[in-house]
Amino acid sequence: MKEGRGRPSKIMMDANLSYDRMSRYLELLTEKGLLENVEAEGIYKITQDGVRFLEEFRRFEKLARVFGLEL
Amino acid sequence: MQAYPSLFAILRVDVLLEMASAVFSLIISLLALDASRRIGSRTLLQLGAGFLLMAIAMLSRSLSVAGLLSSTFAGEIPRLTFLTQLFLLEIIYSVIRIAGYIIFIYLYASTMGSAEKKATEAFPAIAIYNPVFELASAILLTFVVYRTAVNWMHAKRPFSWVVFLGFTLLMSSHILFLLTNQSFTYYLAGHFTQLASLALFLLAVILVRLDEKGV
Repeated sequence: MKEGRGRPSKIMMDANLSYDRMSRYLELLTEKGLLENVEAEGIYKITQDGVRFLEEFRRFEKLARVFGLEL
Repeated sequence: MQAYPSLFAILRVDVLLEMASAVFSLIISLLALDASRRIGSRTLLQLGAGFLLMAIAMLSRSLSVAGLLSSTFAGEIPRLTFLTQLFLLEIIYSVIRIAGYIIFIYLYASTMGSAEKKATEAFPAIAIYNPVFELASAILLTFVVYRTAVNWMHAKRPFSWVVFLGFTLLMSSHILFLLTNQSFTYYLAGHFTQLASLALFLLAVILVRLDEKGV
């Protein structure tokens, strides 16, 4: 998923999630516009909003960690 | 001459220090709340809420004390009424601030991984501090200091020592306030320490921001 795209099976393995849980997360992230389901290729692709969210998340994760907290 | 006593009342060092601390706390709170809104983090929401409650408590006390002092100097409020109002203010302040610390405790417990000169002195420092609150705050903050020490020493995250030092100074400020009846110097030292602790929290936030921009 480093390249921002991947098949559900690969995502499931990398994220160490059950199929049901992963499906729910993928559906939720697609609904929020952070992921895009490219059905023709059978892959999920991160959107521009997703990239922006990820960047912000990493930034604020750093802030929380300085305070000894986990997001 | 009425304007001079009022001005001096407002310019009391402790009131000014507390106002500055409140502003620092408010800035940290707004940054954390903004971060929480952007990424939907409950942890950052709680951190922001804790600092917001501290800011509200400090700001309301410093403004109310400045207002009460200036009204009393101007002869608008009898001294007895002044002391009663101050006592009530202190209770409200203590409750709000303790609530802020309880949020911190919950946060850290639930996640792994704070002739005019004479007239001014006539109002003893003891009137604007509450020993029970100071003791309770110092005890509550011990846990937060411990957790931030662990974060600094074991996780070795950059700038985490600044937060550890900040909470250590915040806890120390409550111990210094507790010693106010021993000497007025402790009271002022408590305010300086409190201000320094909040400046450190703000510094930590700024360092993280600069670090991520590669400055």
